Amino acid sequence: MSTSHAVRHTSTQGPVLRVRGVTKAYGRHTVVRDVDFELRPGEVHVVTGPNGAGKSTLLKILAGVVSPQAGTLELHGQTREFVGPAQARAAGIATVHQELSLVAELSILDNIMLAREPFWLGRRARKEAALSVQKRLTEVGLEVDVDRLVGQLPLAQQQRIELVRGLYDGAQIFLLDEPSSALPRADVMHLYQQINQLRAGGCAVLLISHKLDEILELGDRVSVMRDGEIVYSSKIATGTANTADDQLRREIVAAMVGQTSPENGPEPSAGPACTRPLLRLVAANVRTSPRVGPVDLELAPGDIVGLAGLQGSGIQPFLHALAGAGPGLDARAFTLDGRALTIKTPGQALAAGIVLLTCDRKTAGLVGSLGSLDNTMLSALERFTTLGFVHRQQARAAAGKLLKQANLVAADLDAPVTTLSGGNQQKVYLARCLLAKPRLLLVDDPARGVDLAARQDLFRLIHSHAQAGNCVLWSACELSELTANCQRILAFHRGRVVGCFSRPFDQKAIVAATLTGVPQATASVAVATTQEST
Amino acid sequence: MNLRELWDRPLARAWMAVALVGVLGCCFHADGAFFRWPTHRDMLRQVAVYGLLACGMTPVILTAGIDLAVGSIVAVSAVAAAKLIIFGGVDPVLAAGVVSLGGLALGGLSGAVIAKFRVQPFVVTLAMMVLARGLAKQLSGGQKVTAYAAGLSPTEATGLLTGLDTRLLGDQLATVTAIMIACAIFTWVLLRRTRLGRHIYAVGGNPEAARLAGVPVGWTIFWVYAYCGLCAAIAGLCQAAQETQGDPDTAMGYELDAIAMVVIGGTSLMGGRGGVGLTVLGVLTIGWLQKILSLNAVPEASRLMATGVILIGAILFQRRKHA
Repeated sequence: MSTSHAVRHTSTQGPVLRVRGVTKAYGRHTVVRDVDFELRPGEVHVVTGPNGAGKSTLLKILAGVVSPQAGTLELHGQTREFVGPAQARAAGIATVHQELSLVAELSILDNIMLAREPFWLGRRARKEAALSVQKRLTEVGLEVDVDRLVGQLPLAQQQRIELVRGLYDGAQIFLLDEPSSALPRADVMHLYQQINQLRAGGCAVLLISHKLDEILELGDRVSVMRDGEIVYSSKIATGTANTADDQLRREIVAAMVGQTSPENGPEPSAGPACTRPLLRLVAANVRTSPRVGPVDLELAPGDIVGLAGLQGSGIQPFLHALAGAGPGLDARAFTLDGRALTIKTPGQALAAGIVLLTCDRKTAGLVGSLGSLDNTMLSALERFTTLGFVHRQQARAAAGKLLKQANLVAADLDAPVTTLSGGNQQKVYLARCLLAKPRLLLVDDPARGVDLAARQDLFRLIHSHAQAGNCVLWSACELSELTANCQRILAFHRGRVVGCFSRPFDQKAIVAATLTGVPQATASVAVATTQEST
Repeated sequence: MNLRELWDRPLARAWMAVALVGVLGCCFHADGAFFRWPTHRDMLRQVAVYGLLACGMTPVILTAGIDLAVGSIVAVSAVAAAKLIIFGGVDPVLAAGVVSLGGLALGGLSGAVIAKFRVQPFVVTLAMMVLARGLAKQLSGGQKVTAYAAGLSPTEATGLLTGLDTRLLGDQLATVTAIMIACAIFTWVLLRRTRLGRHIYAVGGNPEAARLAGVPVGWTIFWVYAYCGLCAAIAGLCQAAQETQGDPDTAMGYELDAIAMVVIGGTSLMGGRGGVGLTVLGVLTIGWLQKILSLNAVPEASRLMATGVILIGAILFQRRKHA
């Protein structure tokens, strides 16, 4: 850690890139609200904050991918229009998006030169470009043939190719969106080296990161975003002593957690007396790489258990595996209601009594062209069918009753569901999950992009479903949503369960566990991780 | 390189298909007809029009698109060329230029609508297919445009129309075949050696990544369809020359043959993978197959069924395994 601090110098030059009053909203949902932000040459500015805080959107605005509704942009001291990605790239801004944006079917050389090629790509022009690209690849420690297809390279190398593209462009501004989140440890060190090289070369770097160690190791300045606003900003002093480090850690975590919102849902009541477990899961692993697990879990009827963790902590693969919607699950024991289960497809999960409400209503949830009633009965059709014929009236009545309980506001229950507001669509989606009468309901961020009133309705439905003797696993972006609704919370960190918390919840301890992987009180966590990271 | 790696290369598999058909030809050689050059010369002449269409179709399919209008553009071009040369007495070279530009414009119109309004290529080019067929019938007045209809003897309708239907190299190669080869080479250069070519692969492989990198995605799509239209117009000139007339009902369904040739070659309909070299091999595979079937006097009904079965087989054979 100390080596990078030594070469660090705080820039006295003006910012190369500055935005003021930037605002971006999708529909009624404001993602970035009146943000001022700047990048200085030779400085790494880290932006952190909970999921959905607007970090990536801010980065995309700077990269020209998203155009904001309000705000001004200054590049090298000159006011500029917000423009498309091509112009941003031409202005010396290089971006590494969270999802890699390379063309797998093209070679390394073609990808690096993409949209920079001369009109005529004769043998000579190609050879010259190949030489210069090869040189830059070697500079960043990548020994590969420039003619290899990008799709054949491991992820870490693909990411470095995006960086090399920026170097090849001669970019002075680098925007990196969680570059280390998908990398194995050895490659993370490579990445850090490269970021330090960029800084030493006088480039301005925006780094989005969730990892406290990374923030302190690489950053010259840190800003915390929450709900679309920058709520905290601080310089990171050179060669920070451990005590100052701790102080900063505490401040960052505090800024990320923020005030808990009081309006979150009804108080969970203690479920019916615990008889025998409804769901039993022993040493469950998800066959992703890296693997998620092992997870041990016992849920009684009426239990609502929260899963807390950052993006990429393995919660989503875990929920998908339980619902048969992704890479499969290996477990020593996996029983629901006393029956042992093997689940490979969503259909099997449904038959076994497991239903997942995904966080992506639009692409993985509702059928946009169908009406609210037809969407609601989709998963439960089996129950209303004899000899292949659907008892339409029965099904419609059952669906309609549930939608009424959800306080659905819809002029026409047969109008395409996309004509409803986001909150009402989510009600239809949850109603569909509930109509299938799942013994185990999995909800992944059920309140995403939903207003306060609709939230209440959604949460009420989930609670009453649990009280009817079923169990619920609940994942959410906002921790406060879990603390208000769950009896227990499991903290996930990089695919492992690192802590189990019960009421009354210590929010800071949970956040610390999900951030650092160490399930202890915040103050001692800071020290523990500092030691661990060296 | 071991055998397995070789096997994973689309080019090797495309050659394999050609070789298989060749073996088939050697087995069913129809009293040695398969071993005589004129057989192959005729085959190459017969596939020339399809081959030209397939060359134009390849860039389109590389962008994960499709162009159903090429058959109709062949008809429009054939009618327009016949009309200009036979009835208008226009200089044949000038007429060819005008017709080519017309094809470019029709294709470009499809491309512009696809790029600008983000409508699926299937729908837009389906509409263009109907529109261009109507245009051909409008221009011709529903009649075949022949020298006879103009009151001329066939020999008087000279110029380009007969000029294209000749042979080169001491009668060893049809002119239309030479045109197809030239078009294939030009397409290869376009795809491999120009900026537009790289952009075509990028747009087909990952349009979002291409956009983020600064590739003008819309213009790339526009030019791809315009080029496909141009190739179709040239194919139309060749068709008119071979039929010595402009028939508004010609080239019905040719677009499907062209697509089949591209796909049999191994270019992915999902975009981003493939090339015109593969397409040429696909053209040869289908061309030879048809020739062998007709040499052996297989009745048309059986010929169509056999072609269908072999098409499916070839496509399964070309399918890339995903690790």
